[in-house]
Amino acid sequence: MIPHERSLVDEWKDRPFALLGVNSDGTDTEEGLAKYKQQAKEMGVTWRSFRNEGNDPTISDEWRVRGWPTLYYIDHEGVIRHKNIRGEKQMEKVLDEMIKAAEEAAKAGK
Amino acid sequence: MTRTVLAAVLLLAAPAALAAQADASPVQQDPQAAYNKLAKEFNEAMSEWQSELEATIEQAKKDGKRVPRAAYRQPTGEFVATAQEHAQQLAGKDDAVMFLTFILKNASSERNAVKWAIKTLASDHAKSAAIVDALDHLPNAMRISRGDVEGLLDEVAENHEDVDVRSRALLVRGRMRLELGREKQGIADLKKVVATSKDEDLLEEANEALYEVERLAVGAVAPEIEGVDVDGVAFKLSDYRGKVVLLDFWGFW
Repeated sequence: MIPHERSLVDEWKDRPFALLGVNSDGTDTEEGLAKYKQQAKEMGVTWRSFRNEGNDPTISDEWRVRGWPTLYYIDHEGVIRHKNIRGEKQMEKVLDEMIKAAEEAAKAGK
Repeated sequence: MTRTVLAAVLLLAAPAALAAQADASPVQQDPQAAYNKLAKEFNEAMSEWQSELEATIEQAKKDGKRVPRAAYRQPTGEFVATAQEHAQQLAGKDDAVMFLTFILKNASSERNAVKWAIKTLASDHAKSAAIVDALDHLPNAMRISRGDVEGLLDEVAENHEDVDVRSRALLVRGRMRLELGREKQGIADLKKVVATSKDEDLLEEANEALYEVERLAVGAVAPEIEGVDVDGVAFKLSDYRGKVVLLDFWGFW
């Protein structure tokens, strides 16, 4: 999971794409944050995450998340386009299509 | 003299009273007590089955053997049969509904009992106020008696005299339609609940079901997230407008 995500982030770093996490490792405590930092370093997690905890309700409750991981594919206009596609090839295919659409929209806007 | 008469009356009356009692079965005399007894015994049997199953799995792991299929069989049969008998003794009465509901809630492989329960609810109880307790459990029977379940929900949702019972049926039907992928119809049912019901629980449940399908569905604008990153720096999901966002609920754990 994480290695594949890292490769997506690297591959599309110059294109309109962002991987955003909602992380549930309890980084609102010092202990949780220290543990997170160490693991993030080991696993090469470079992307940004919201803290799930410390919000009332938590972000995952607000989004009715019942299982982890849960994935939402949100387009350049903020519209949910897919949910929970997990196969690596399928992920890349739909994201690539969405990124192309974002690039075209940006071009048309200029 | 008085005493003799009294004794004679008692002698005459006693067998009559006994006979009347024998006519009414314990279930007919006190349906709620019979239900409580059934539910208690059922719960005990289920937890006993659960711990036996766990022990069997543990043992099978130790021995490197497969868990016998029979170990997974839930001991529902005799309780469903008892519920069916009780419901038959109470045929046509509101008190039958709790036993019919018991069947819908707890049957595992007793398909015929479930079919019978749905048909009986439809023929004897669709107009009764007691039907409301069965409604939430109707979706359990969808795979066994889809047509009858839908028919009963339609009947109650459209024709029951009590608006709260109609709304409860609409809520159940709406959620079921969403699960079946009949999104438009499901949303229409739920919106009708919101428009017509004054019951707070019903409203909350309908709004909750609508929230998920309207605000978190494919095609919806993603709800804003305003939060902080792991370092405590504030940011928002909408900061990323113009980019494709893969939003990943995750953790190392």
